[in-house]
Amino acid sequence: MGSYSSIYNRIQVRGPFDPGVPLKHSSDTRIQSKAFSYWLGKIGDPQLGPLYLGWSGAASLAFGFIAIEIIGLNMWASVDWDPYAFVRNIAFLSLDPPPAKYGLNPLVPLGDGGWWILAGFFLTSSILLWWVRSYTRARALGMGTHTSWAFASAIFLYLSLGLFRPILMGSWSEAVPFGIITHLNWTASVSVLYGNWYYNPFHMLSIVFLYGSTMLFAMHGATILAVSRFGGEREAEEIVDRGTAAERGALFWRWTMGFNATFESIHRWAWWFAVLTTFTGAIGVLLTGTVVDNWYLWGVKHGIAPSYPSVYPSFPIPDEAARSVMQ
Amino acid sequence: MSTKHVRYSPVIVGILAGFLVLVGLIAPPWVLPPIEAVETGPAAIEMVQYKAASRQLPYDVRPAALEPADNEGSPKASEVYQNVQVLGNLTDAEFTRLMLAITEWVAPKQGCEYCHNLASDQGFADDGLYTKKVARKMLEMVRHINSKWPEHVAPSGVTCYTCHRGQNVPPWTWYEQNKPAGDTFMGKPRPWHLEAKTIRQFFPDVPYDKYLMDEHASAQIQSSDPLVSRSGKAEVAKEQDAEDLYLFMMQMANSMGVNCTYCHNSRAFRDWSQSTPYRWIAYWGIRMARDVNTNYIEPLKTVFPDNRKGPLGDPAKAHCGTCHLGNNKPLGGYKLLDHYLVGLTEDGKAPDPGPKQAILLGEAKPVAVTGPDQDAAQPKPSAAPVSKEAIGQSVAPGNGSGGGNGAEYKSQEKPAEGAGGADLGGTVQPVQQAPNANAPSPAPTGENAPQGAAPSQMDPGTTMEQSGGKNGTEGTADAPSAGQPPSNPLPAENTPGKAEEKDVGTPEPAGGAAPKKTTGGGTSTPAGNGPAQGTTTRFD
Repeated sequence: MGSYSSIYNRIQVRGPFDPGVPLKHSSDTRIQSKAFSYWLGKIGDPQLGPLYLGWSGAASLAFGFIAIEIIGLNMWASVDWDPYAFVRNIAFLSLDPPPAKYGLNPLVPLGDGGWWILAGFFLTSSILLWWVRSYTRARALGMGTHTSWAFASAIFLYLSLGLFRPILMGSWSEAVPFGIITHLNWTASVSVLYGNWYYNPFHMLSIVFLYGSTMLFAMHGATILAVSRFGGEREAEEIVDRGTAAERGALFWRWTMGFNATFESIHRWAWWFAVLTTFTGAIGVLLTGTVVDNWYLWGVKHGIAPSYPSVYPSFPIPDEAARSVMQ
Repeated sequence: MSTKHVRYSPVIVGILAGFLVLVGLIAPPWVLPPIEAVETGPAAIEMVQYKAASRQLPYDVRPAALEPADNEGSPKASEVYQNVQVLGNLTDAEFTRLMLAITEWVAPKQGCEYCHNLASDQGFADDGLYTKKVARKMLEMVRHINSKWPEHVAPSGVTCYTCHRGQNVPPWTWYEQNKPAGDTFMGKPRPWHLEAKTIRQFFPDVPYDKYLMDEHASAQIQSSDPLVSRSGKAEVAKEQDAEDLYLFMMQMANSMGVNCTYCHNSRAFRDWSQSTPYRWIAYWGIRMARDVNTNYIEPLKTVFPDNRKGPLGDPAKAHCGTCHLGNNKPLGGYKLLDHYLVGLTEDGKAPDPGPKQAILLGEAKPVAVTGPDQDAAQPKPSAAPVSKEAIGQSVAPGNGSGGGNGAEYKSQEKPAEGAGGADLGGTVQPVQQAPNANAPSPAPTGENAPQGAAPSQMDPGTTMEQSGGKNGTEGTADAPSAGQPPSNPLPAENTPGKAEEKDVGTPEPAGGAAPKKTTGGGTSTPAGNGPAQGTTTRFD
């Protein structure tokens, strides 16, 4: 029985190379690269391989490579191909979507956002192909497709930001640029532009699920490590054949919070929290600017924005601010 | 695996980790406590400004004023010198003193000859050097700012040194930047300042170009309506424009060494009723910068030589940081101008602190109150297609021509005293407050001014505290009043020029909460219907 109190594996299981279960429905063969790594064994399974690429994996890698090339070369071009400037300013370099004047026109001059459209196309294709790969591989092993659908939730958020919302808004310019600082600037300015995203209830939900995910992860990981001395890491067996590990863990949580998840349901909790993080976030994105224009005022309207005492004498406001709709 | 790995690797990893921690502790310029924190908003909502006592601002030397001139029997400068176009009315003694001061402020190394071509036949009168022409225009600009923009520059005013700081060219300026044409095959370069040393220096000049010239973009940030209008017409800017405004605001904060919450409650940036009075000062500052850039600096395009111009051939222009250089008050409010009032103002008087004071003390009146026939000058604003829900539970809109964003903005019809309740009856519902928060509003005493504003600081006659090393930490006691300086854009003298001032809406003071003091000061004494009712009325 392993001792799981340290941050790395104390036990490395080393047997003969495990080639995996026999393939049933696929004629593709696995790449039987055989290797063991002592250091990988510290954090996971020491066995490397077999690998599987397949047509979807190969195409996904190729498309992803093209997307990264387009983004990187555009960034490099924007500093006149100076390698030093490229490395030094990598955080600030950006590949921007087309300006608003092009609307949703897909035929934008390359230097004015056309490359962004191309990079977006290749990156999206790459991600979708990777999803296909995750689905077909799970199927090939006779597994369920939970991983694929969780991944799909994240893809939905990505597409909402870069494709669905720009289409709803009628302009590519609403999409997120490719760039480290610039995509953060996009986030900040969109939040401010639409009246403060912290009042967006779907943003709130997304944060709840995100932080909830980390909490569930901590609770579950801690519980399993804590009962591993009783065989708790044999979670799957204990789902149906409850042993003392499961019972002690369950009693611990009933003692401390009155209720416990089971060895099965904790994984459903975690899966749904993770999936709903990106899913609710995507809904919040899609509603912004299409249905709701000012989330702070939405919060005021629905009574979720508290008012604060004024600490200043009342003073006039500029005429233009009072008179115009926009300010 | 050999046992060697197991035995030595933790030691190696430990040493490496220890080394990294050491680098992290030593390399960055950490600021050690104590760090001064000043609240600029209601308690516990984290509208806070931080200042490290050890902070050293660039170009922060305060020059001493020269000895007062002996004007006894001194002839006018115009009688002594030829070609004195701006300062001809000064006595010769005062004129010479000012020239010496300007030399010290702008060209301490080069001396008189930086502007005066003494080798020419005309001597001092010669206009051959571009620097002299620029200096003349800049003198006019300084006089204009001190006399026409008291809302922004009172009480300290500005001198040449406010921007120049002993340099020929003010250290912080901006140029127009090339806009990427979009016709290149690759690379739409972002105009970041890629040679920057800190993150904030990366900010591009584009937002200055966009917002600090007379022809400026509209902010259009944040809709006044929670939902998208039924017509589907966009009420807010495009994202890429919003980002420019975001950068501009960052640059502004950087210029003054403050953060967003110095002026705004960051949960609702657009809402003036939740903003601090400092937003007014900044509001005027932006307009002052537009005035100065458009009417004084840009016209010098033809005068400057190429080496003083930007990539698009424009002179170096002013933004907030040109004067402020990281300080919320340039030079900590050092009143250098007081010693040079005769030459550096149009009327010989120090900038009137009244407008700022009035804002801070709640005595400010919309200018429309005093202006003649304010309604005739303005087209009646049409009712805006905004839903009533827009203002939710805090302000119920009245009927008729409203403020365009759903709320009713009546110009005050009386002076601010007592204008709170009756005039606005029916249009305002108090926001729900804690029961004990409905005490009568206190009389404005100035004690609740943030940053420990002392009323005496606002009195024109008193001397400004010389804060020495801790400059910038004493805060801004100044507060603006309604209306705009009559010079934006630069009008002919005595023209109204202030069309925008008409019909200034005022925040309807709802029967509000007793203001809580932010910093310093004792408890404010409650008084009657003063204008200083605490209010959380919203305008959006």
